[in-house]
Amino acid sequence: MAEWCTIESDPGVFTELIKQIGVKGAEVEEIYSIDNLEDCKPVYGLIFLFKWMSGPQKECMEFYDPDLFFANQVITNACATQAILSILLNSKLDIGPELRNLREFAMPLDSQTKGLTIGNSEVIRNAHNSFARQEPFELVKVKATEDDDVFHFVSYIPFNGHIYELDGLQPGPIHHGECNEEDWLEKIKPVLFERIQKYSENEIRFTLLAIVNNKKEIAEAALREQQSHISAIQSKLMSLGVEIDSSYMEIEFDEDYFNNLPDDINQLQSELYAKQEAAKQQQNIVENESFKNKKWKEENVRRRHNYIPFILALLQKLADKNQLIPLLEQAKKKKKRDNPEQQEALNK
Amino acid sequence: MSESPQLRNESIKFECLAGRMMQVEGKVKPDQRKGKIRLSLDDQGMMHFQWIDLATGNIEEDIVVFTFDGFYKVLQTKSRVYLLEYSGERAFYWFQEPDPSKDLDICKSIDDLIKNQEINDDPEPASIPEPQRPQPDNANPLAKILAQFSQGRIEHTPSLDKILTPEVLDSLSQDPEFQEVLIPYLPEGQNSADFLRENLLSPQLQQALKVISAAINSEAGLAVISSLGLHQYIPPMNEYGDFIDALIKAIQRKADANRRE
Repeated sequence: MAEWCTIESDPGVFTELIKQIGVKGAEVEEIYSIDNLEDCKPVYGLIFLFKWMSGPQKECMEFYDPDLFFANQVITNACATQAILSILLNSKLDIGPELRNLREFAMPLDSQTKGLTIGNSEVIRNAHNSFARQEPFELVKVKATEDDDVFHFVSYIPFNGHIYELDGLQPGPIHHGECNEEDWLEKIKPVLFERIQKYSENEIRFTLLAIVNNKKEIAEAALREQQSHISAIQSKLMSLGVEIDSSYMEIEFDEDYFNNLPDDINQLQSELYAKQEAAKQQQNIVENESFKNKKWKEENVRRRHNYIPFILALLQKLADKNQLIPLLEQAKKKKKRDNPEQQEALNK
Repeated sequence: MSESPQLRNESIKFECLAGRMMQVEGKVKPDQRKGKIRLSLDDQGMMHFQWIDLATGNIEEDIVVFTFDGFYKVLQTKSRVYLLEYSGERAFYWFQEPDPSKDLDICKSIDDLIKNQEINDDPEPASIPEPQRPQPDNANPLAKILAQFSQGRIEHTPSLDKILTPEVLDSLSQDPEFQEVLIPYLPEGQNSADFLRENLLSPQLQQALKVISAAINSEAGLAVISSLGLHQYIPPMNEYGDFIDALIKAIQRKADANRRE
């Protein structure tokens, strides 16, 4: 099987990744506090990322809902992508033709073969590998940082009235009780909390990600609706002889909404004010989200950039200006200050 | 145990006539004996670069070489001098083949054998082979270097991300001289002074600094420095500590050389 590289666990990376695979209207968000989980509603699934430790095998389901897509992880380095896929493939999101075909094709297969099918999908692999960390030296494969510990990702999803934990390293899904789409976040909290506590006690880093609706698209849709309402109210006010200075006049509006508007000018004007305030709020969200998406895009460009020529030029310029050796000496001094014992050992 | 270890199950990949050159007081002088260079693969898949005294048949040098090592012509001289770069060390040879016109081809064959040796499936191909059999003293310089490191005798140079701290980088972002030099190397669509600061302070640049530092701190450090176009500026071995130090000093030497021109 072709190689899958390690990629960074970052919401901006994953959001672009699922877009590349063909998923529409979704994004990945990092959850900093599980108390705020409900603010993100609707949440299609949660991804829990932690440093992998060997542990006892969990109690898994041998028989489960035949419509649930559960795949074993058979490819290394792809566990983040696989965790995201296991949410998408079990969600009501528009997952695009590639994933729909994959689901249809792999559904009747056993969980091991399902994993292989994911591993063999060229579209998914190419999207995944396009976020490869720069490894500029063919000569030597280096472990870049201590961040390269083995991480593992598991997903939690609501599916047909049940909460499942999908962990590709386990033989089957793990059942976490019944739920509906409204209360599943409430019900999953204690499960997550227990897990987080366990890792915090051992000082193990973890990250929680959620797959949610694309907030910009949602805000844009809401904004369009507010604007059409504003346009309708303004037209109504004009028909009642009120002079309006409007930039929304060209926006088409719903006839029914227009016909149901009251005839009272004061009432209309306070309604107009409320709608304008709401539109402003949505406009703010759209702008913030656009800014966030722009930043994500720039970051992803930087992730793919080869900085070696940049760094060499920087070092060379410092050397040209005789600043390089002083900076080295400064860093050495700081290192000695920070590690006095080591220095003592050196002097022995 | 035998004094000159003949490896069992080794398979000879290449041989050519060549003598050794010894480094004496900063100069490289030929050892007049006739000999040959042999490359052979041992039963563990390790490539050995050996020098054999033709008169006695003894293997006097036995160096395990890795894909990041190399065999090159010494360009500073017109005579038939070549060098093996391995694990941060250099060994010199002079070719004794009757036909000097083939020298460069032979050099390339040796280099190809070193660089393109099959990597076995060992998860740590760069690991140091256990010297279980007796080896000549200089057979495993890497182990010696590592031993010195672990005993704290060599001072570790701070890595590049510790030298180019965010504070340092931030101060450079406003300097028009640095802006002029650096902006062309920024990612596409980010070639402006505003983006320069953002890039200088980005986690992606810090990551890149760590990757370079790790590559240079690896056994292949000198080869990495060479691959950055700094080969001719690497200072003599006794003038640098570890490889990061060698990199910094090579860059400074290049700057000094450019200034003299």
